Amino acid sequence: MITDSRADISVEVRTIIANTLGVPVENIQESSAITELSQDSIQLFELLLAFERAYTTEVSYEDVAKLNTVNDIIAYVHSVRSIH
Amino acid sequence: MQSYANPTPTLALPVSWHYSFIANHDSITPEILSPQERTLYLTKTSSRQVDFLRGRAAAKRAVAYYLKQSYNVTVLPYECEILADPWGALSVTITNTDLQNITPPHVSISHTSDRGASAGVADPRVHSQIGVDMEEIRMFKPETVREFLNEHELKFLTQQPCSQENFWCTLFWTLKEGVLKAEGCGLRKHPRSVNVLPYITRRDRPHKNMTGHWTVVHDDIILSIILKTLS
Repeated sequence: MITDSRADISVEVRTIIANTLGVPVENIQESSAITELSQDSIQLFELLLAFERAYTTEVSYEDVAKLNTVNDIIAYVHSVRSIH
Repeated sequence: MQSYANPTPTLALPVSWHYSFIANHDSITPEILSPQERTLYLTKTSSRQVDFLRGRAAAKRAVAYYLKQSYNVTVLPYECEILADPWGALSVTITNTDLQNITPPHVSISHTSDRGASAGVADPRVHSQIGVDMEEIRMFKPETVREFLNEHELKFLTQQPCSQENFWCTLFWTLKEGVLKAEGCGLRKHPRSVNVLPYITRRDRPHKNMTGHWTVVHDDIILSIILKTLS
């Protein structure tokens, strides 16, 4: 079910990161830079792809790639859903 | 006592590059980092601190080499400040007030797992940018390969022996990331949009303003250096 709640989007986004990077979701802070969360550039690329796949109709690779922090991604998805 | 080892395999290229491997990192940070870099260093996790220090050490050696060759001046590591934007685009500042007239070179840094770091510099007087990427030869997820290679690169890959797939995928990645770093955008631009097959097949240049590329393979490490001339 698609949700518009910012809190739920935060859980969604942090779960995508946790599943892609193989780290506990509770270790992912909203203030974290996504370049710091990933171990290397290949893992960062895979994370960007994971967001593109998860939000197929809402987010493109280039949209999410210009964002810096977990909070930026949450805010972006939230704003896109608010418009729709 | 110098507490970091550096094989310093400087090549006879229009760019210079250096490789570093550092041990006992905490004790040498004041020798290598500027005060602002040290503040950044202290905000990072332990493994990131090692990457940061290795990368800066390699880059500062490359910058010092360039400045010595070009201007016959000596710059100490902590006098060369290298700062990054959130996506890793680097800028170099020489903090020694006696050297303010010198235009510092462009620099690119890459590091891989626990194998050290490499950095390259390009002469800003010839209006060039540089991108360096170094990776350990590794296995890629098939879905990742399908995303970062374009149709022609995928076809090329299928024509290679299966035993060489990891090598070719890693080489493609280092070339693509090198190009994206030289363009100053990094992974903000999709790697699939960069066609590096001509680099490998040597038919022509992938981009009209790309003036050179070099790839070094050592043991299980691939290092690609891309030089781009600005129009």
